[in-house]
Amino acid sequence: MAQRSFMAELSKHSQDDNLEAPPRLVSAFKKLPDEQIFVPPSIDETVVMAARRRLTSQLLPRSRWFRWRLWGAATALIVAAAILTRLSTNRPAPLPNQAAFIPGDLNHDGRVDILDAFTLAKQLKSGPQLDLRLDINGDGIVDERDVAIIAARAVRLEKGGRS
Amino acid sequence: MKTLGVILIFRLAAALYAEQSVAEEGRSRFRAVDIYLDSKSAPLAAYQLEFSVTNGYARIVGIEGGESPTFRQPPFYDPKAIQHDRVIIAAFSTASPASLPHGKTRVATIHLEYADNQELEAELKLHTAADSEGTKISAETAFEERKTK
Repeated sequence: MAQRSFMAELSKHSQDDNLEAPPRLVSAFKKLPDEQIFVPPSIDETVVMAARRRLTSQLLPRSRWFRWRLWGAATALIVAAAILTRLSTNRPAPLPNQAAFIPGDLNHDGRVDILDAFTLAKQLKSGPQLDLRLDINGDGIVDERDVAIIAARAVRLEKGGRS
Repeated sequence: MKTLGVILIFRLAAALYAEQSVAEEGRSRFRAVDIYLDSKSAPLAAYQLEFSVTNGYARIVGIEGGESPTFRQPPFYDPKAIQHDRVIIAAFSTASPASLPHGKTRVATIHLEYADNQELEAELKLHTAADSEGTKISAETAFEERKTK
């Protein structure tokens, strides 16, 4: 069955191959002169130049635009880097009371030790109203309990007493 | 001959095991170690130091204050240090400079429990010391095992 359909398809193709061009087209081709038409080289050059001009005029604006974009991006990068550098170097030094506040580090030496507890105890003894940032336990008042918390932090063992 | 060798090995192993169990049983002794600070002529208002047993044969069982009335109360320490071999102790006083100790003074005593046949090997590190103004001062540290009667 499959073989029969294949043969029918093949015969159809062979009929298509035997198609002939229309007689009018054949006669028109026969009337064409045999000698080649002479085209002067100046016309060739003119055509080539015109094509080149057209092509370059199409390409040039794109490349210029691309270059401008590159320059723009580079300038933006330089300006951003300059701003960042200026910001990082000219940042005003924080005032002592604005420094990165480690809770309990009253003397701002970067760690909590007994001297911080001592400092707070002395301030408490001297009497004035104390900064609420020194309220370490957050109970709303600065008192001896805050001193005790700082002292406990100072002696805290990170490894649980094992050396 | 072979049986004799096996018996010998068993006897040796038994002896070793017995020796080990005596040590584990806790033939231990309690000793007191006094902690001293010498602030020379400066009045000692605050200190923080770290004591640690370095040979691992002792554990801390108690901490008490020093000889000076200023530091007679037990210092601050982490309770986790008890039953272990390292402690940070610290204390301060807001008393007047005249009543603060200076020179060599016992600031604390650490009680240890350790194996009877072991010597104490420990280390004492000063973290900080300050005078009555809170200014850091240099001080020498020392510890001494208290003599038992």
